[in-house]
Amino acid sequence: MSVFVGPRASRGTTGSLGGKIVHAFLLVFLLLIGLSIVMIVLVAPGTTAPCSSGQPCGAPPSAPAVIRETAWRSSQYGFSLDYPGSVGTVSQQAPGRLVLATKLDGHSATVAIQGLPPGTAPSQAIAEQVRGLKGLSQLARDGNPAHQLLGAGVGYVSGAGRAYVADLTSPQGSQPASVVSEAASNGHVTVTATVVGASSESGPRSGLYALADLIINSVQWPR
Amino acid sequence: MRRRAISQARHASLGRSLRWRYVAVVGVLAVAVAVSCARQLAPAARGRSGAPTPVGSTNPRTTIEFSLVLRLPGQARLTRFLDNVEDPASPAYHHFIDAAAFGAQFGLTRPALNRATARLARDAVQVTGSYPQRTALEVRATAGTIDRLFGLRLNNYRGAGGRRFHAPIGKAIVPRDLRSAVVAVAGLNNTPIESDAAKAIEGMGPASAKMAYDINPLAARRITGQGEKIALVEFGAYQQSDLDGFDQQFGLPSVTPRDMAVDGGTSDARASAVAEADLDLEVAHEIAPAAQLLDYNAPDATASGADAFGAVVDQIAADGQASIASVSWGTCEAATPAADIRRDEQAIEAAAARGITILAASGDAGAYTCQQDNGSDHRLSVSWPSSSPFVLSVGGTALSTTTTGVYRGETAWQDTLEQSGGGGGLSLDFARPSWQAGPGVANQFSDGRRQVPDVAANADPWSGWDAYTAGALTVAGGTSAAAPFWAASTALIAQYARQHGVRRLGFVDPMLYSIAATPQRAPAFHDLTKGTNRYYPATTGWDFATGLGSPDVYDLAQDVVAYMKR
Repeated sequence: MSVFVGPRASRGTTGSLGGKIVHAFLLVFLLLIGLSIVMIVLVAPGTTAPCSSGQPCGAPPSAPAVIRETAWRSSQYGFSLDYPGSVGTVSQQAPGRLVLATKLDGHSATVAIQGLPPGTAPSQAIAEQVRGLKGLSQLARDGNPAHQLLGAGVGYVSGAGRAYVADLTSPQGSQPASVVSEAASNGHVTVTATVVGASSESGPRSGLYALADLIINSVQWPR
Repeated sequence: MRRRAISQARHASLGRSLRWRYVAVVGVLAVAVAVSCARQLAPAARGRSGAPTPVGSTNPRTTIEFSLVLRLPGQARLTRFLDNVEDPASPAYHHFIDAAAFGAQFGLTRPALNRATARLARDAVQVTGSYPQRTALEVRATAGTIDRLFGLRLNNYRGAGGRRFHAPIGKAIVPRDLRSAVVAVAGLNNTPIESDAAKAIEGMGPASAKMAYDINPLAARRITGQGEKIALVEFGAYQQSDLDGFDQQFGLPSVTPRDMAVDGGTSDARASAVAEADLDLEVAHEIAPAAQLLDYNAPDATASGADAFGAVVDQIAADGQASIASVSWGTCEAATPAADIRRDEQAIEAAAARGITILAASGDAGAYTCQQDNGSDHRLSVSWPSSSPFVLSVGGTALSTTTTGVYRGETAWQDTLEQSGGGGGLSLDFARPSWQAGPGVANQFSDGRRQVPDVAANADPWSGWDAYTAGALTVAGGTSAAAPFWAASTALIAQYARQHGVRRLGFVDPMLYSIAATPQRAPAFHDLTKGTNRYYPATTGWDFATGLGSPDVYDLAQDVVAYMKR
């Protein structure tokens, strides 16, 4: 109702040029509002007419891609992987290494994929990879059996996996962190995948770990 | 007999100190994953969300509902009947019997049943429900009566979220003068169902699903489930507005499931419970949009102590309306009391005798089903009722398609960090049925026990299913989605078979294994050979991670017709 307060008050000036301009402007303005309302009603998904039983109620959307992925390949070791670009961005990369910043539902974690020369045992690769992590203090093996990695591997090749606890240090202070690392070798290259996140945000059933699993499973080994 | 021996040996060693129940659920923005609740608690029980706290003995005047598992005097004849009814070479092939005939042929006699009921009444145990198949009695008594009659003590607990429940300390002992009629006491606990959830981003809509699994050729022949009825077993209340939203989103005909309330039905409107029911119904509807959906809903254990699953299956068998039933929940088999398994299995066998195919999700924790409830439980374990030899166990895969939805490949669902994957492994309770044979079935892990899953379908949340719940489109995964997918696909195949003059499909497992073991003009399964379920690898032929594989539904329909017409 308050929309009409202005125009009603301006009726006293209908004889003037300014009044005609105001009137014309208001007319166009109201017309545009009316058109907008019609458009909103037509396209709003919640206002679609209910479907009747046995009858299709609208054109089905086209089939979407199940997963939209971005590919990355290690020029040094020849392995490659995919990650969903919508939730993972490259924060560092080198010929043998990719570090992704992943974010899901406001929570974040870092996923680092590292190639190592053939002959590096998976458990040794994990130890090296974890030792080289920056921004962590108080790093120690996670003794909680519930956090043990069962069925660890990379790119569907069985390997080794370890879980750690640490403090994630930043200029804002430190907070408890979870670190999990998996590694596997196909005889030509060893690949490690390490995930670091705040304990409050990552862990099994967090979604972030599922995202990391997706990336780790996607590793394609060089032949 | 072998089956029973294995069961007894296992349960004797287990001591039945624990029972963990999980129900596959889907969070508001999430994937279906199994959910847990302790059933018979012990101090060692440590769930992911913390151990339930004992809060004292159950008030002796509290009324408790539970089940009495009835003796089946004709068990040996029943076993032979079930073997023959699915054997194409037998004169009894597909001569299914209804629930009343099942009761008359294999159950207690009427006088024996009446004597048992009278005996229970003298002890103030009221019979609240029975079934024509005479597999169980639903009963009600005070906690004090139960403690005294069955020689145990009911105790109260406070679980995660402060929810209270009761569970027995000690094993129920059936009084001597009832043993000719009652073999076990089931459902003496009512642990609340807890939810768990993970996140996903992009889902698979009906068009993608139908393209990936080759359903479109059936749709082009107007095979969309007409005349088929699918029972969905639910312990949460679906939202009609969500189903409407899903249908509108994807241009599907609207659906209103028929309410088939059991034991008063469910009113559980927690987001996780609703999401599970929504997902089941939506997946079934998108695959077989013209099939009638029967929502067999029962209170979860919070509202009723009775063994809810057995009661629902008994009701499905007694009604005889649905030819297919889908179950998206289960328990860690290794921790499920023998009484509950026996109660459920008798109901399942009555359903199989009636020609009803029951499909069950194999669980979402890979080879470690019990870890779903207790992160430290690293036993190789499977899910109940998925491990029943009269259930089609449905495992999980990770599906990949092209941008236009064309099937590109599939792997076993394996999420090491997330502790998720398609359930699969060896049953502790049941021997491997004779029909479970074919390439890959007997492998390095086999030991003569029932092997699951039988089949598989997309379940990885990252390649998950579009679902509409809590008023919004989201993505869901888990074998909770794979089971109704297979149920609806089976409905399509049943309609296709009917159009080709073929009778009711009945319990489909023997037929599927036979089809998979025989070279087909139209290969019915995608044999998945990549990945693991966190322990068992996917291999050529049958495997513990993906069973026979995922379906090419149109090819399978043709193969089923050829099989049944031979």
